[in-house]
Amino acid sequence: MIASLRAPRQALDNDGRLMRLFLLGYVAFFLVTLVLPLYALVSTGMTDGNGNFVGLANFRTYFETPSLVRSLTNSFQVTLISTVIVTFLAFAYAYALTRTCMPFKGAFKLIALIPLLSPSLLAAIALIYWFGNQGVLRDVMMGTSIYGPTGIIMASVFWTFPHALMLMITALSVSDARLYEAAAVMKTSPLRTFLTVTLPGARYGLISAFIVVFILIFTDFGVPKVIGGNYNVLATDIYKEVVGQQNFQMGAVVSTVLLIPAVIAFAIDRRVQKSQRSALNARSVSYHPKPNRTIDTCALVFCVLMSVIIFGIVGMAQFASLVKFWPYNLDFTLKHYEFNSAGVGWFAFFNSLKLAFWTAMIGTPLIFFGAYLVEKPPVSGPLRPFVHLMALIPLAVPGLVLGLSYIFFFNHPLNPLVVIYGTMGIMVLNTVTHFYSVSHLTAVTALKQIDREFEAVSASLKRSVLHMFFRVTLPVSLPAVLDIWAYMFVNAMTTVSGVIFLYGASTILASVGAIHLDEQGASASAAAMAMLIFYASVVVRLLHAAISRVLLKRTQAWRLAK
Amino acid sequence: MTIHDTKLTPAETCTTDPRSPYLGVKNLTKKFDESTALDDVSFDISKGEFICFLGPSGCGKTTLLRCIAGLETQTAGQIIQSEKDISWLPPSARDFGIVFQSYALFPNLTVGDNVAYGLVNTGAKRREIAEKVDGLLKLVNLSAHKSKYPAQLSGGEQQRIALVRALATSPGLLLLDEPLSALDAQVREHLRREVRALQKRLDVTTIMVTHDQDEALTMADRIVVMNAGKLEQIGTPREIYEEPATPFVARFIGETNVIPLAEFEHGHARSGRCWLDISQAKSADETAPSGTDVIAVIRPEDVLIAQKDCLNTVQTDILDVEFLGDHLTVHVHAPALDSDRLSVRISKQQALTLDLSAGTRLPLCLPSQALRLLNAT
Repeated sequence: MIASLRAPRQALDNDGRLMRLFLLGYVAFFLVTLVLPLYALVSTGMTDGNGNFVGLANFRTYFETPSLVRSLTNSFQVTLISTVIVTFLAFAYAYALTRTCMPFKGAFKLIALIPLLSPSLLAAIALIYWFGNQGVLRDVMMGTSIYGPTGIIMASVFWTFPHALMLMITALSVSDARLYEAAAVMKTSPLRTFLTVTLPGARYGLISAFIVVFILIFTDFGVPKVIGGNYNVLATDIYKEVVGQQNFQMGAVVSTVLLIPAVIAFAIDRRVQKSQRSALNARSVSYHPKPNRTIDTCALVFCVLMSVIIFGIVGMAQFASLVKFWPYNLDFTLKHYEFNSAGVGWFAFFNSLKLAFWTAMIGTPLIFFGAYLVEKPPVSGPLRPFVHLMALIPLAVPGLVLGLSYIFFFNHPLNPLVVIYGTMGIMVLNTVTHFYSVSHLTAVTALKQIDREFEAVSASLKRSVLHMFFRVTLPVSLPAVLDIWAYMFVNAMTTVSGVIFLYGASTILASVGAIHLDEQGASASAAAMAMLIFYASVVVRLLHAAISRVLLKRTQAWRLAK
Repeated sequence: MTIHDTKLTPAETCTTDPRSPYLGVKNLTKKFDESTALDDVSFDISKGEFICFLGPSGCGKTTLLRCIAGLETQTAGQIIQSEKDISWLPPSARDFGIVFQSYALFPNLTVGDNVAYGLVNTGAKRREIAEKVDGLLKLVNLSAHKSKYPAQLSGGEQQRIALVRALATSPGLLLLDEPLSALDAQVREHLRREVRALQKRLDVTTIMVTHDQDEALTMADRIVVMNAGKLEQIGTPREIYEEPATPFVARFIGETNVIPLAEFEHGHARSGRCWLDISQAKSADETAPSGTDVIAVIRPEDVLIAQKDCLNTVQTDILDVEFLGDHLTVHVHAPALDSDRLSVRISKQQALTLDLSAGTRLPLCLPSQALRLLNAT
């Protein structure tokens, strides 16, 4: 009776059934890699050491412990200061790249992206060599210490700079020249034009960059671990509670405290992104800057300065890893690359390569096909928006939190998946999930550019959706697929926070190894390990560029057809 | 060259009762969250007909087409094709070919591969497919472009490729979603004729969505005029133009003058201070006009310069004149009527004999037989 009252639905064809099955597969994937682990984390925070439910008692303890609360305010303090600095610098740099006639723009853009290729802790190590107790420039610190908020802020600014810059470049390159012409015709002063046209046009990019950088720094572990000294932040607290004191309950509580601001920031960002649409339309005219000697010179000086700093940081890490005994014996040596300290060796580097390779190999097809299911074929109902939401959530989940949640979930005796605990498998799963969102968005953007009627045409011609996918959609999206592959690889190489709780003795990674080497006082070896990661990332990026070129030439003739 | 030369079979041999419609749309309703895109739409289409869905943007014409294709699902109502209820079938189980405004050609496949896309899984042999593709390309004079990519062709050429790709599998129904809207005016007119000729030749039942009334009037066997999700009128281009069923149709197709009427007496109706003879006026419904919700409509070309024997003479003052090449449109002010503005179409020759400067008096005649009475609501 009730069934007959329901509005009938369009019957599913074989394709529809298959797509629904795939979507259900993705729901299952996110349940296992995201929802259930996070549930395990939050619920662990509400139990005592024996597994009894205690409600919010642990949270009360947390907020009654002054040292823990201080970390919370510390976290907010350094994060806010660094975020403001990064946003300002990135805006200026992006402005120089997009709105001036400064020379060497391409080179400056490449240089600015260098920090993406190394783990965040590389900057921290290099800063210690520059400004630490035995640093070259320790005098400019005028007696204050680099260990603590100053160091955290400087290193954070360094490694998040390219993240903010890319968002800013996007925001500043889409501007309508007609607005500037209108302003000029009305004899508006350059300053007023900047305040009334440029800034409003870029405000969504500014907000977005601010939020993204905020989340990155707020949840980062590598930098405060290496250069934080006695200055505690949330991320280092989680590590101390879990690894130092084996207090998993408190680790879960701190993780939840870390998670909440990140989720709020993420929600704000999504809102901002939504209202951003329709800022430009097809009739907009793209803006071409006119030469202006003063502005162009200022831009050039600023970019040179930034580039010098970037080279200075990476160069110092490289230099420090090649000298015998800083700062007393600066003779050349490769001994720091031998890694004979306990538990960390070259195998850590190879483990990282393995992790990065598998993360990219598994993650890329998984994410791209998931984005296709969300974006294209006609499956009605809540499945598609649900999978899309799930795909975006990792953006809000700090790596440390995700990693810890995996301990609670996968290490649970009742979980049949416990077999992958401590293996490379769980780290691949974790890393794919951790970096899912950005790749998902890349794929969705690429898919949105494809005519939305292809599937309809294909269905009318009685070809299956999968045929369509492999014959047209995938080849057309090849550049985006390659981008996702390289992104996954490089991030898997450089990540620390996601995997710090998950490695086993035989699966330790280069980035984690660098942390341990630094802990043991072998900072030159830590720098060497960070540089290995850097060079591996560089090689992969170069390979990516070369392969893209060859593949695109061979398979994308139609693109050049015009 | 006949159809058989090109190895194209006509859409479907007619085995069903010739009197039963090929496509029947019954009480189709489509509601989105809050708005109603289609409101109880019903009509029938015969086999081989060329139908245009015409209406302003947002009137529901594209939604209606997408429901027929199965790309949208209706909230209620039925769609019958070849006596088969297809209302709840997925697109892949329906029998249609479709062409979109964006062409939707696969950019990474050559023209030939695009056309062959739907043929490959029909079980045909490679050589047969190649022959059929050649035949189809010949049909639209694009054989020379077979191994080019879509991006190398002009918009009009791409749309012709999209058209033969849709026809390749010999569908029973061809759906065209504003196929000519993205093209230049000249190409558009050329393609109108080409599409129509191809459709006649293949005898494929065709529905085309358009917002361009000229396109609908020149191409369609019958036009479905839609407004705000409702079907306003269905009829031949002539019927739609000469016998509009509703004020919307009268205003939307071509230009029209609207004269509100108030009282009715002995074959006359009052508008403002004028009594008009409506004894020979045609009415959309059979009942005698009454009440206050009745309007008379008259086309600008049916309004005449008043002669002695005219029954409905109205005094007007000229407001302005628009020169439109082969004719002029004169806008006048008619203080005695309830509608104070009228448009009159005057030929170039006639204009030479008249003083058309602004402010000049111009007595006009509204012939009784040219008036059409409609219910305003």
